[in-house]
Amino acid sequence: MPYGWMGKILRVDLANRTITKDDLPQAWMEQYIGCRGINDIILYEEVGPDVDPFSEDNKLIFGTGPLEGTPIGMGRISIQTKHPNRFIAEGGAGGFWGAQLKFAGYDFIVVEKKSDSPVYLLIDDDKVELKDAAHLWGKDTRQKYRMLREETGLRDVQVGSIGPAGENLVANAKVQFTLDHSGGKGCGTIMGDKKLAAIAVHGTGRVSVKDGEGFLAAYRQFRRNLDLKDTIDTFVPSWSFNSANMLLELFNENGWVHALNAQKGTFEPMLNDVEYLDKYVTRPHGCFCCPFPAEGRRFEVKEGKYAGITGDEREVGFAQAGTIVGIHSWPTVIKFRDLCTKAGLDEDQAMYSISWAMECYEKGILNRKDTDGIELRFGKEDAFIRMTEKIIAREGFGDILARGAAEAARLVGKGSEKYALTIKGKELERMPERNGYQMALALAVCEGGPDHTRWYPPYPPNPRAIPKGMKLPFDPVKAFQTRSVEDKGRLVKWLYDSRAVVESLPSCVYMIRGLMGIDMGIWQELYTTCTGVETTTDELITAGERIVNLERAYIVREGFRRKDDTVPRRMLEEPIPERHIPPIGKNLDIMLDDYYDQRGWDQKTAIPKEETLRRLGLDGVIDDFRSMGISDEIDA
Amino acid sequence: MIEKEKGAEIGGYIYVKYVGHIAVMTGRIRETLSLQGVRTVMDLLGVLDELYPGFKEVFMPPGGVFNSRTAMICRRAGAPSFGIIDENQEILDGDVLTLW
Repeated sequence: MPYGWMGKILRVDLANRTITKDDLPQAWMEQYIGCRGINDIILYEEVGPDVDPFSEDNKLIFGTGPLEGTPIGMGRISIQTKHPNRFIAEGGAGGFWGAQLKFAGYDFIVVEKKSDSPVYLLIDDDKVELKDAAHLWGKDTRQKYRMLREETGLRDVQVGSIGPAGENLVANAKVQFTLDHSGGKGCGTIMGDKKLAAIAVHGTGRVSVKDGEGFLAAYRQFRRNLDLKDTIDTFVPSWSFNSANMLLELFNENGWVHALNAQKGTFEPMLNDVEYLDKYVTRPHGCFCCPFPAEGRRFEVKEGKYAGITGDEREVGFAQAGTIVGIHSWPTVIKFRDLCTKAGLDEDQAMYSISWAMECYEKGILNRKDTDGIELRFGKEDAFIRMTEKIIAREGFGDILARGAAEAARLVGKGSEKYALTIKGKELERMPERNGYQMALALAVCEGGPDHTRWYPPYPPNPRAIPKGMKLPFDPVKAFQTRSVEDKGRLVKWLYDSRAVVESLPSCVYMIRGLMGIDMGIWQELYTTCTGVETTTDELITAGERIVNLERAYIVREGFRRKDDTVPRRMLEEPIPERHIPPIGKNLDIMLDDYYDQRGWDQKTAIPKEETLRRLGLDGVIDDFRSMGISDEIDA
Repeated sequence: MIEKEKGAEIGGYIYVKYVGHIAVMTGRIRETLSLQGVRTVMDLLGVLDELYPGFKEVFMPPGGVFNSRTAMICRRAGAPSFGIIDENQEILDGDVLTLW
């Protein structure tokens, strides 16, 4: 067995209730690194353009990589499927589940076909079985975890499950894991369609590394990069103390929030991170081997009408719901977070769909009759919570919003499409597009709809802190000019390619800090000492580029073109007056031209050119493009 | 010596926000400071170091690079905010500085 790997793919046929254990092809390990990269090639080869996302031929893939199960892997798992919007639904989650899958002896799970009744998959080392899940169906994700832990009798069992949102096929539903981790927007929806309630995994094995001493030395260097004393990263100190919640104040001060459905860039009074820390955080609770003590935290509401709510969080996302729908209450956003976690509902889907509806309500496009008697205005806390519950249950107007903001706008019409904050039909992720052009570009071109984890963090360290003589594939000073189009093509290409490597090893996006975001050397050391595969940083980056191109090829094959690489109209046309931030305007097109050039993609169509695909060894894609007539579009 | 929360005869004022671990150092999340004797970011760090001993070293590590593991964002009247990577950056009356 290759070092770092278990060498096995579990294939689970839900219709025939069969389970097979296949060998992991060596070529995939070499060309696609692992995790997200190998998920991509499985999806590309096995779920073609003729497959309807809700048909039994769609597949759901759970993948780990060679560094999973070591302290670098952070328990991560990448989940993929064909999204209902036909792009790649991909998402990573941390916790412990990924490590347990490796310890059980498997690298990947490919879930095939559909069950006619609810089932769950139990993996306990060699013992793998599908079991009836009628008693789990309808339960929330935390209930499912408790019930499975009890009925399996496995104290350390890790559970990935869907909640009522996935069961009810709500758009962008996620898979939830222990510590309230979640991932794979849309994967929960497809998991619900397949009637797979959960995957419980327990393993007692271990991961072998090739060069233990070398790996330990590389790991120590990794930790030094994240050390308060040695880091050259602005976020390491703050994340060591109070997590990414400090972004609340930072974003608000600079006009970067999407207040009131992004009509404004600031919101007063903003929810305060220190208040959150004082009143609601009870203790740290991190992922498998996470070096940041504050990155995972347990919270509890101790008084008021939401008293008793507890949970885990890692970042500020749920709190920004407050600005987006215009509320100032920590207990209310915590209640929102709790509803989403238990239901497996994507917070972004819910908050941006509701904020779209609130704007439509205030503009007179929707009225009380449309919204089931609810006064759906900005700032109405109870209306926000009630509508979230209705989305999960697909009840009344909630059934419209359960389809996502873009589809809801299409159904409502009357010009409401102008206010939907979506890209490729999927809701935004609270990024300051108008104030950070590299973020606007990165969101626009993302093959899976808006997903910041594929290119985060979006800037290098302070240029003056970068060691002299270090060769970078972009100009770090220009990269810091956030409202300039200069060099954004090269920067965003680097961000995508390098992060594709890290996500495929895998490790956590929060670890890409300081030098580790611009120098692949440490990642190469970790990979080589773990697997024994001799490689160079350039070869790793080429593998990352191959992964991104394969993902692009996937969505091109599905019909996505340059016109789909865009940001919402509001960001292109409307300024943020209170902070003097202009709209992006034509700057996006300038950056897209630059990005496609850097990538070796056709500017007009965003289709990878044959010479690019050939250089990356994607000859199969060339054949597909020729047979489907896609290549002709470039020449046309 | 800086005067806090009190009018200064010359130089004007700035508004400083402390975020994340910096707020832990200062024990407060925002304050107004006089610009008396303060022309650049470096001058301001000197003033803040008097108020909060050790403050300057966090932003300017001995032998290290200014803002290599900290950050400052400046919001100036009539313009979008910008990041400060030069300790000689001039500070103007009315600036809002966010430090983390």
